[in-house]
Parts: sequence; C-alpha cells; structure tokens
Amino acid sequence: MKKYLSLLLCVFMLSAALLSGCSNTTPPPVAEQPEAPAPVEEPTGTLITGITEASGNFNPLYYSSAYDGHVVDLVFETLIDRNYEGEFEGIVAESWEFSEDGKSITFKMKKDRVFSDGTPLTAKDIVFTYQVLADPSYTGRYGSAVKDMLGYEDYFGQKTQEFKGVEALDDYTVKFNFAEALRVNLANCTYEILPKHYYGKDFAYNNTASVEAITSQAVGSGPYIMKEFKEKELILLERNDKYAGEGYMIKNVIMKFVDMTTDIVELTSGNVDLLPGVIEPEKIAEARDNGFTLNTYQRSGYGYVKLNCESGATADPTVRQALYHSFNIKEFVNSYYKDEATGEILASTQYHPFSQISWAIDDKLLGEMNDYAFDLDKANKLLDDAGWVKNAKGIRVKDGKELELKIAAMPDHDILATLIPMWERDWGQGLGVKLNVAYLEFNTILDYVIYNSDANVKEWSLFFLATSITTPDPHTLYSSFHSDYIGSGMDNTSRYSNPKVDELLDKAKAIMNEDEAKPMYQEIAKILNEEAVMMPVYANTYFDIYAPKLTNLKTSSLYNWTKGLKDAKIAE
Amino acid sequence: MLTYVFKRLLNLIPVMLLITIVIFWVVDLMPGDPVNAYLGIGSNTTVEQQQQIREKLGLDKPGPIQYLNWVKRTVTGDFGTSLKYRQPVKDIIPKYIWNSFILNIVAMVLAFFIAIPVGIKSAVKKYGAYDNFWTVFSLTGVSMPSFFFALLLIFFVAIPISWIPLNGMRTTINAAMGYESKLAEVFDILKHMILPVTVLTIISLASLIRYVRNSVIDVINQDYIRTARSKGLKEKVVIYRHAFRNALIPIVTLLGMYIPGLFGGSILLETVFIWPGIGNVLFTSILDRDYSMLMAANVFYALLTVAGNLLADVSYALVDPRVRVK
Repeated sequence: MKKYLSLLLCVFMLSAALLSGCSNTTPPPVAEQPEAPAPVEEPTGTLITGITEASGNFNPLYYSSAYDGHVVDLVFETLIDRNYEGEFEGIVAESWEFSEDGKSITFKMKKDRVFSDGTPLTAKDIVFTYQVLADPSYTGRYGSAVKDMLGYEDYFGQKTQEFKGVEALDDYTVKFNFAEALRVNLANCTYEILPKHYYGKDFAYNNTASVEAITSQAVGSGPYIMKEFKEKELILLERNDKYAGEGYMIKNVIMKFVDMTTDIVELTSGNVDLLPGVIEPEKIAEARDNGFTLNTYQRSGYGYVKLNCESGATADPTVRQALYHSFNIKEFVNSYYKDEATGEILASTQYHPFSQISWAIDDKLLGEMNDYAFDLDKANKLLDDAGWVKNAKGIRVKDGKELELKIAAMPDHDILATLIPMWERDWGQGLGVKLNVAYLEFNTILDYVIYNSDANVKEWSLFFLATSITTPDPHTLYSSFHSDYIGSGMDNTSRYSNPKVDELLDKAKAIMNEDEAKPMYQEIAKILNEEAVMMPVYANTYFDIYAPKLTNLKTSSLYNWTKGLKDAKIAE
Repeated sequence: MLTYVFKRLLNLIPVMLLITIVIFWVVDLMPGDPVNAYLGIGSNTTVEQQQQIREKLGLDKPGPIQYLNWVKRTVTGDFGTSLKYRQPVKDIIPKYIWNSFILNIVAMVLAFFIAIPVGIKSAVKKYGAYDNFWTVFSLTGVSMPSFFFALLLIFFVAIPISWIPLNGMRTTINAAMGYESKLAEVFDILKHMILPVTVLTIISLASLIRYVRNSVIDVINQDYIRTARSKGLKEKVVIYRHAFRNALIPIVTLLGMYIPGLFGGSILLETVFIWPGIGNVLFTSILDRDYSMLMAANVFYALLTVAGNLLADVSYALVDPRVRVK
C-alpha cells in the first residue's frame, strides 16, 4: 500500500514538473482529480533524548519532577501557551478577551480538538481540570493556579460545592473569573487540560482520590501518546494520529535514562540523540569536538545567596552591604564556569532579581544597579563606621556580640565547596567575621528557610539556592519579597519587610500594561540591590546538545526541547 | 528442631515491633516532611493548601498516633501510597527489587563458585605465590570503591569493545519497540549484565576468598586432620572430604547473612550502570521523605535480615551435628 502511494506520488510530482515545464497557460489537470493524494507529510523517525530522572507520574495535576513534566508537555494541551518569541498564542483557544472590569477572561475554543481516544475536547474538560485543582481534597502541588480565582476560598473551605472560578458558557466557550483584575491572571489559565471522561469517571466534590490514581497511563489531546514506561529505563511516546494541531513530525520520542557521569559518552556513541540542559564546560567541549550541534541560551533564573533580614547580624543592611562588597562573585564565576578549551565563561553575573529574559530589564536599569565591585577596604570601612570593632581574636564585635554568620550549606555541593573557602578567605580573614558552616541536606534547608522558617529564624544567617523562573513576568518577586509572605510555608525566605516594596508590588501586579508596570519593578530592583537583600551569584548558560541528524530544533530557556519538537525534523 | 524454629518465629514479633518503632522514630526525627519535599521550591501553594495536604495524609497527627495508624494499615497489607509516585508502595517496590535480585543472585553464585576452590587452594598452599596473588587481589578488591571500578570498566572495556553495553538493562530501541522473541530479550539482558555482575562478583569475591581460606586453615590445623594424614590418606581426600566439610560450617553462616543483600540494591553501582534496581529508589525516597516507601522497604529488609539469621542458625545445626538446638 505504502509503495503504491509513493509511486502515485512520484507520478504526480513528475507530471507536475513536466507540465509546469511546458507552459503556464494550461492549468495542471492532475491536481483536479480527486483520487490524486495530496502530498501530506507523515511523521517519521525516532528521537532518543537522555533524561536523568522520571518517576512515571505523568498526571499533570500531581507530578513533581521536571522530567515527568516533559511527558506532560507532550501528551497534554493547554488553552494558550508561550511561543518561541515568548508571546501567548492559542493552542486549544481560538481567541480570548478580557471583560471590561478586567476580572474575567473568556476563551473561544477551537472545535477540532479531540483526546487521543477520540472523544472531543470541550469546555467541560477545562472546568473539570480546574475543579480538581480547587478541590478541598486535592493533594497536588499546583493549587496556586486557582488561589486567585473567584469563589476559591468558599469552594476549598467546603462552604459551597459550586466553583465560580471557571465556567463553561457553552461546549466551546469557557470563562475564567478572578477575584481581582491582575496582569498575571492570564498565566493562570494555561493549565494542561484533562479529559473528564477518563480522569473524572469517579470524581466527586471533595473526593479526588480516583483522579490522583491515574499516573503513567496519561491520556490527553497533545501531539504524543504515552505508549510505554519502563521504570528507570525509558519512556516511549508515539505521535498521536488524532492530534489536530500543527507540526511534531517526529514519529517516536524515547526518553532514555542516563547518568550524569556518562551521559556525554552515550551521546557520542550514538545511544542518545539529544541531551538537553547541559552546563558542564568539559561535556560541551567534548560534544563540540565530535561535531554535535549546540543550542545555547541563558538560564531563566539564577543561583543566589539570601541573607536573613530579620534576625542576627545580617538584619543590619550595612552588614549585608559589607558582605556583598567582599564577596568576589566575578572571581567565582570566571573560574567555575570557564570553558578551558575556548576561554569562554559559560555564565553571567547579575545584580537585579529578575530572570535574564524578564521584560523588566533594560540597559538603563542595568546601568543603575550597584555591582558591588569587590572591595575589601570599602567593606571594612562600612563595618568600622557601623561600630563593629575587632576584638583580640580578630573578630568584629558590636554591643558585646560577635559578628557571626551561620551558613546553611548543602554537603557534596560543588558550587558551595568553591564558595565556602572564598568566604573564609574574604569574610573570615578579610573582614573579621566568624563563620559557622552547618551542612544540611536540601530538604532540611527547605525546612529551615521555608516550611518551618518561623521556628528556625535564629538558626541561619545566609543560605545558597538556585531558582528557575518560568515566566518573563517579574510578578514572581511578589511572593519572594512581599512582607505578607514572611512565615512558615511561605516564600519570602530572606524575611524582608519594607512597606515601600510592598506598596510597589501591590500596585504593579494590577497594571495590565507591561510598559507601565516596568518602572515599578525597576524601582523594587533598585531597593533590593541597595539594601543587599539577596546576592545573585550566577546565571549559567545552558546547552542543548544533539546529533546532526536532528535539525530545526529551536529552544530557549522558556521554550524547552519538548516545545522545540514542533518544528524539529529527524533524518533516518 | 521444629519447636525451635517455631519459637524463633514467635520471637520475631517483638523484634520486628521494636525495629519498626526505632525506624519510625528516626524517620520522624528527620527535619522536613514528605509534603515539603514534594512541594519543593516555588510551588506558591498557600499555607492552607499545604495544611490540607498534611491533613489528608495524616501527617498532622503526633508521631505515636501516626505509628499506630501505620501498624494498623500494614497488618492488613496496605503499605501506603508514595507521594511522589502516587502509587501504592507495594506496586512500586517489587519491580525494582526483582531487577536488583537477578543481578545479585548471578554475582553471588559466581562469587561462591570461584571463592570456594580458590580459598581452599590458598589455604593449602599458605604463603605460596598462589596465596599471595589472591591475598593482593582480595585486598585490592575490598579497598576499591565499587563506583570507581565500574567507571573504569565503562571507559576501558565497554567503550573500546562496542558489543558490550555501557549501561542500562536492555537495548533502548528494543526495549521500547519490542524484541523478536523472549529469548532475544533474555540474551540482551545477559549482555547488559556483564559489567555490573563483574563488579559485584569481584567485590564480594574479595572478602569471600579470605573467609574460605581462613576457615580452611583453621580446620587443617586440627588434630583429626593430622590423624587422617597419618592414616596415609591421599591429600585430596584429606582436604576435600575431611577438612572442607568442616570448613563449610562458617561459610553456611555467611550464606545466611548474604540473603538480605540479594534483595538490596547498590546505590552507586545501580546509578553508574543505570540498572533499574531498588538501591537508588530507596536512596531518593530518603531525600524525598517518602515515609511510606521508606517504612515498607526498611521493614522488608529488617525481616530479611532476621530471617537470614534464623536460616543461618538452622542450617548451622543441619551441617554440624555437634550443634543441637533445644
């Protein structure tokens, strides 16, 4: 059958070429024959991507690992999503409009969407998805998407069984209602859509157990179907032939488990075709030497040191500024991220709290940031002026209290293992600060600074973590620096409280126009920079490395390889 | 004998209770809880939502109550659900344990089959060139970190010899798209076992050889061996019929101790070879504070250890007629 088809196609193409060669007055008669097959491109080829982890929980409402998220990205669709340029475009949505008061958004949906089992995707599936997120029995980690929606508190608090946040106006029109008109509301309408008839068979109010129980057998309307999951071996996805959208012309996508120590060997020996998100200079050099293609982009996010603004010596802004001035960030980045082969530095330093791709950044802002150039004398002078004097042991003391820093550090952490000796040299010997390093494993640090932070506020002065920011909107600063977010379980981990910043954050979040909101965020950035609340350390460069047979893979920090597959091709 | 076994089995109940209390207590002492680990950084969930999840999972109750609830569920065969995998623990663990088991059993059989003859020969030719070679071999084997040895094998064996797989349990493309036959799959898995089994065997071989050698040396110095020799028996008969059988006694004990290890994975080895075993799963479950998974696995291993000890004691009595249990 296939042979016959391609033969027909050849004949068709040949005759078309011949005809166009003779003259342009007679229209090609072949094209009008209904039997002639249109040259529709069929998905072909197999792509093997290396991943280091995946738990097999591909339920969009409950998964937690980024790798499980890759499967979710490929199997499910959203109403709207950011394109390569970073702008929202309709996926399931045909169009959308805001209500006059700005509190509601109405989406008109495309009518061609079907789930991979053939059932049409309608507004009731979207309503169902958000009902689960808002349900009182929901135990997943994506509840923040619904917390600003109208009537969420009553629904979650079991005062009503009717959720007003998302309503279906008809089969293909869905309306989202929010309590306030916020710029970021639109981003909360982008959740993956679950088929109600599949996930919600036994769902009832306050009973989400049956939705939660469906893990690896994911069913969505996206470009791929979840075919097979072999624990710690691989995930096989196959092109969904009912997918109504464009692109995704690779037939099979396999995610193979690889190990960080040998992943580059697997790439060079042909076991995998693509390694996304590589950062190590040695691996990048190896891939380049072997003729692999590299996509380079700045990480959206950064590694940072946050200082305790509530308790201990770091509560004093002068101490924080002195520490910032005597932290040689450039020295660290230039040595740690140096690609020995090319001399290039695979990371950048920044002084603002935004993601590198945030729209709040412009040259004017960058020029106004204090870069806290490494200056031990200045740092010492700051402390002298603030009344910190060195005692007999060479440690600075003020009001009978030693200047002590309790560093909450992670063990076996390469970056910290490089930073701590630098701090001992510059802060310890250079400034006369007593350093007290406590090695705590990752989740213990989270317990210290987030989930149990009220009880542990006196236990630490500074900690190092890295963040990934998944949006160009600087609203992410809200939960990190607004004083309402100080306390156990909340994200203002530096416990920073400044009424001026609170006011600016509150004002800026309600401004719909990005250009109007921008100056406010820039002002916040300047205050945070001035008061040395946080010291961003590095924003590293990411590399997606792949075999030359994979072409046209566009990726960036907010447009990962799963999205890039839309236009990618693979040669057999 | 039967009453002895029965008594020992009854003894298991308080022992297991004590073990589970200690494990539960230690797990509860760890800072953080499963909800924190699951939510991680930047979930932006409200404190009410976090509290709700804790309540749903019964984590808001005091430790002793949580323990009693756990015992109640476990006795009925319900080991709980993993927060990360969102699947019942008893569905997750067996798959991984089986993968670890096939690796370990092959390595163990190989190790015993090599260690016994080598150990005997070393003992007989004590301090000879043969003995010295294996002594050096054993010491190197014991001192070498397994992951390092594994990496050496990957870089110096698997990469130059293209038909030896680097890692994994099956060839990716076949594992995804299917094998021609079941036999082809078995053959493929065997091929993938070459490197990890080599590492595991050599590592356990090292200590096993020393064990066998020393126990044979102990026996050879006994009076009855001298008697056997003075009777004019051939050296082979003396060693293999008289000495070896008695030297076997401590080795049988060793076998009992090895049983829990058969089902336990090696974190580093399984990580380096990307073998889908239980080791790494358990390690991450500690980092994830996955209480259900941790408890189920720890109880399983505790049970195996206790059962292994019991088996060793019983087989000790079986091989050594001097040992009689009352």
